[in-house]
Amino acid sequence: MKKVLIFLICTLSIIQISAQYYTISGYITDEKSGETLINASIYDINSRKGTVANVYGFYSLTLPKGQIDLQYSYVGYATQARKFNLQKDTVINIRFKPSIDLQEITVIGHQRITGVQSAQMSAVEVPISQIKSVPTLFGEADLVKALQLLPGVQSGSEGSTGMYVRGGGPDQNLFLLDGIPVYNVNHMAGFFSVFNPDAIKNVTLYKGSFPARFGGRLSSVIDVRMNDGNDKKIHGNVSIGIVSSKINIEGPIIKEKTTFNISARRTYSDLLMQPIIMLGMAKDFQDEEGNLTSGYYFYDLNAKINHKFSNNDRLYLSLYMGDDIIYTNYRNRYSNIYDEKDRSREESSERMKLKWNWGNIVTSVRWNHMINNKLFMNATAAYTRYRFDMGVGSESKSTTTYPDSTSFEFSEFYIGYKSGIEDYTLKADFDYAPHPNHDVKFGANYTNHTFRPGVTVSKLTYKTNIQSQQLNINIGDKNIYSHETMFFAEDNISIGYALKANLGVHYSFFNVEKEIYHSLQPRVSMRMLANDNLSFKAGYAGMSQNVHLLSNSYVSLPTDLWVPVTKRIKPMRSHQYSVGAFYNLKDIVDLSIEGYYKSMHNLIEYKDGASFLGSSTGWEDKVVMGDGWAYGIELLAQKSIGKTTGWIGYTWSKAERLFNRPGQELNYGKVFPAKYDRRHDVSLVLSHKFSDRFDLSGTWVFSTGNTGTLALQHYAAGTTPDTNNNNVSDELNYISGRNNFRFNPYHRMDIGMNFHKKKKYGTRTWNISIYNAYNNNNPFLVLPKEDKEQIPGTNNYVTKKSLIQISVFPIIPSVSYSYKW
Amino acid sequence: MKTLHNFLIAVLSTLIFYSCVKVIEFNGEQTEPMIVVNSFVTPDSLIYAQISKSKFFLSNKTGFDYINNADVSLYINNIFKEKLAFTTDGLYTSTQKPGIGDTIRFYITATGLDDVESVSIVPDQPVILSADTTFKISYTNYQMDGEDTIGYYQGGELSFKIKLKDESSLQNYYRLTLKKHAVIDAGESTTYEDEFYLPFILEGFENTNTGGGLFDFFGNMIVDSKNQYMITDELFNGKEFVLRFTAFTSKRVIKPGYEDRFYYSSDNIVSEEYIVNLQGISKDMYLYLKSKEMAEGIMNGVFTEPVQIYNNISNGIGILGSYTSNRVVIKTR
Repeated sequence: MKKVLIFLICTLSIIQISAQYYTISGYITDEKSGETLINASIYDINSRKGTVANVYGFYSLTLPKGQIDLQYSYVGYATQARKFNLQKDTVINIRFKPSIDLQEITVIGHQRITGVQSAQMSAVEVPISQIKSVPTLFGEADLVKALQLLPGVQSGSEGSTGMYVRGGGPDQNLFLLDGIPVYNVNHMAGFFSVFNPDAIKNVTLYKGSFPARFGGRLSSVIDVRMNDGNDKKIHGNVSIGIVSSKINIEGPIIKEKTTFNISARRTYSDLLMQPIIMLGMAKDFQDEEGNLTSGYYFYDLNAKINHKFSNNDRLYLSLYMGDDIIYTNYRNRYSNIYDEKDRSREESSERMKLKWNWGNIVTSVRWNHMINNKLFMNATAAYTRYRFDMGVGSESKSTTTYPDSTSFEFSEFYIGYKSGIEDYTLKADFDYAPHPNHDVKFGANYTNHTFRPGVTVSKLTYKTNIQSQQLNINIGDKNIYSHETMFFAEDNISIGYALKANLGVHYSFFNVEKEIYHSLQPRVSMRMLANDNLSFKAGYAGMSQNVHLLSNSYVSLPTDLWVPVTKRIKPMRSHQYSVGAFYNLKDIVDLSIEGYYKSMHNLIEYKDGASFLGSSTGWEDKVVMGDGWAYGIELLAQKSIGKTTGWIGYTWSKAERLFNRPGQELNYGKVFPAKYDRRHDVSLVLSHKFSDRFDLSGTWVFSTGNTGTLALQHYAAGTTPDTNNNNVSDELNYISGRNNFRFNPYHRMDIGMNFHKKKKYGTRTWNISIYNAYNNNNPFLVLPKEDKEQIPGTNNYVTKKSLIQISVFPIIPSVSYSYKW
Repeated sequence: MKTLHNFLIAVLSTLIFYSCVKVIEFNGEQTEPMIVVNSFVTPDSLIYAQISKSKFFLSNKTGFDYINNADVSLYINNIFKEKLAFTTDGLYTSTQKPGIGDTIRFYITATGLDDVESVSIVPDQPVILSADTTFKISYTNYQMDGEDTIGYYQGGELSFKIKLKDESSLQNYYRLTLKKHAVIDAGESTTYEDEFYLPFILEGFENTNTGGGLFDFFGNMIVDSKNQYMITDELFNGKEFVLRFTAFTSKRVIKPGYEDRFYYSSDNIVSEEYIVNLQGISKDMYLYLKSKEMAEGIMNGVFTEPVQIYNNISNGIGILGSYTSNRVVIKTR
């Protein structure tokens, strides 16, 4: 590691002194809102050198002195040009004007991180406007569901936010919110993700060729950046839908210096469902004084404050918090029950309470400092936490008043369960642009993890006026503490006109319970430019992952639990190779074809019969370790500008697993398909803006069915010797292999329409969405079923067996109203 | 307004909680029946094999068809010995008796079905160095009739210690069972024998299944007793090892003269013994019994991984296992 750093410093020093260069630097922002624009392109036509703005909108481009013809461009904004004679270090801050005119927004030089000219491959940037326009379930725009429509990304079960990237598992995705990991990205069993699109500025998905600055997961990085807030005037957006309502307010606290952005969302199915619950469940419980409330909701809140001390220093405070809550409360009160025999009067009450809540808090303080016009630093202190908390309790009280005395009785019962994960992180990242041919990033990160594997608390109290008893029991595993440190360095190197490479190395050190795991992960991504519009790329990424998610594959449950690697369960590792060709068609459409091969090691799978509902106690005994691999081809045609935007994606892929280590065999140690192995995936996403008053969007997806495990034959069990022989006629199931059955193909069309109208203070929008427009019954689960049917005219029954398919979401229309000012 | 509110709630609840269930056609493979073999071989005994036909999981047929016209060839140590003779209901038997260390191979053909074959090696007899037992009374419940004590129930833990010597050169698989055998006085100078396998708890070995119940937040706290334990020598390879296990037993005692007032009759046990059977079992038999036990113990459903019951019949289904017993009889009364 040390040698690599010395080599890099020496190389850069030589480059520095070999010619006379000056640096152009600055920030790129939106003119209207002052929002920094991530990945905006800066390109000098004369030298054919360029760069992109970093995630804070900062850019630095070092060029030889002389005549400069700079083009600043960003998707959806009018291109800006600056021509001048570069004789000294220069600061140029650019404020872009939005435009949909294709003539104005030619992206000169395609200096986007994912474009033809970039060395980066296997990455996709999805404009947030596109994410918002993708029609989804219940009309709730959802970032993760939009990403599921990209090639190489597969959704899990119908409607869920599970992501399976290039044959990897759902725990192999690193979701970063402003650079900080979010552990549980699901609301409502995974039908919604925690990311509120109103609060988001930019999303980039990396599926392979990971830059060295990312690490910790095998299969993908989803880099989500929150809005900073408008620095000129207060704006807002209120939206009311059938499932949730949202509000977003942003604006300056001190004009062009301090801004804020707050977004909040809450579902109200609990409020709407309350009358039904009252009618149904409450019937058995209610009397005149009884009261039952029950429901489920989730909320989330994103808040961000950004203060600009100077052009060189900025401070960001950001917060995400969200919870899902299930509750049931029952109260009953009986009073004045008079007993004539002993002339006593009794008053009593009882209460029952159930509450489950689970959610994340992610908060960070970031300081951006421009050390000089070539070196930019971002220092972050962050806290992220996911916790699941369940409690069930009851309480009863009674007081009996006699003519000459009083007696009371009190009993209380409570049982609770808690689990979760908590991280404290300190990190520093540096961007260094010493030379037009080098764009260096390096940094370090330390995280203190606390894994809370699950503790059950129970409490029992019984008191009367003559006795008192109390019992408190705590059961569960102890917290596990671990330390994770990582260092990275990467250099985006240009070698002549045609060749560009991103070379990097990522080192991680993980210390848990006296075990230490090191991992040195090389990263290489190369681009060969055939002409300005066509490039060929190849990449390699070695990845390592030190945490596992204990989860069920069908739905995301709040009890899903992150656990660290242990002495027995080693870190997962992967090696991914990818090659591809990228073509830009008239600066309007990006076309790409990519092939990949990924090998994965130390994967975990549940043993036969294992279940991960509830406690994680002894989880190591429930899993086995093995290997896997995935390969495929992905095609993408993406149009991000103009009145018609969207993409067509196709993936051919195969993902398999092999668990054949001694004592850890699955499927008799033979290869089996991964749970979400699918041969074909097609997605079509289109949006068209007909006018300022109306736009229409639609998606169509098709994929090969998921795999499942079915016992295809039944057979008679023999008599086991030396037993009570009660099982002579046992019928056993024969399962030929794991995931030996394939569900029917999945296909669905969603349509969304937006009707906009300018009002006195802003714009109102009616959105009408239709999920599953042609009402296809897509498979969620496939199960065998047995029914008993009476033989007509007899008392005998016959068994009728069938295979049933359960579909969750039929055609679902939804409507929402929003007002933006 | 109220009508609209109710209508909206009805529509919403229908949409949110609607899920469609429909019967679908099976579009996969493996719809044809296969030969099923069930056979457990033990030394110095005739070999029996039950041959039947599997059925497609959507078949509405009840029961299973025995194959009564199969051709079951027996090879011992790769030498053809004989064709097993059909007796009844798919049961075939040999005239030969295998010995310890023999390799048993079946090659079975049946009209209209794929030929199958299977192999098993008869394991060594386990070496038991010593056996010991103790009884501890856990509770005594006295039976009262008014002021009189007319008898009692007494329950307790019967603990066993079996010291074995494991053979180091091989990975060994064991099965442990406990049988109670009693001779009971039936009155009028007659007796009858009662015999059954007792559930017991073996210390230090897995006593629960890996599957958990719905919202099993307590984890595996409840220790279940089992009728049999299948274990490997992973913990004691090549060493002497003491298996400690406990069974729960009880007895009823009636004070003389109160027989007619006691609800249950007294235990008129003439003699009582416990038979500890430690078997060396083949790996196939171990994997089959373990996976079968797990398949029977789990709560099937979408939250539990399905269990593949071990199968060592090539092209077919079932088990050819082998075992060698070593029994210890402990007389307690």
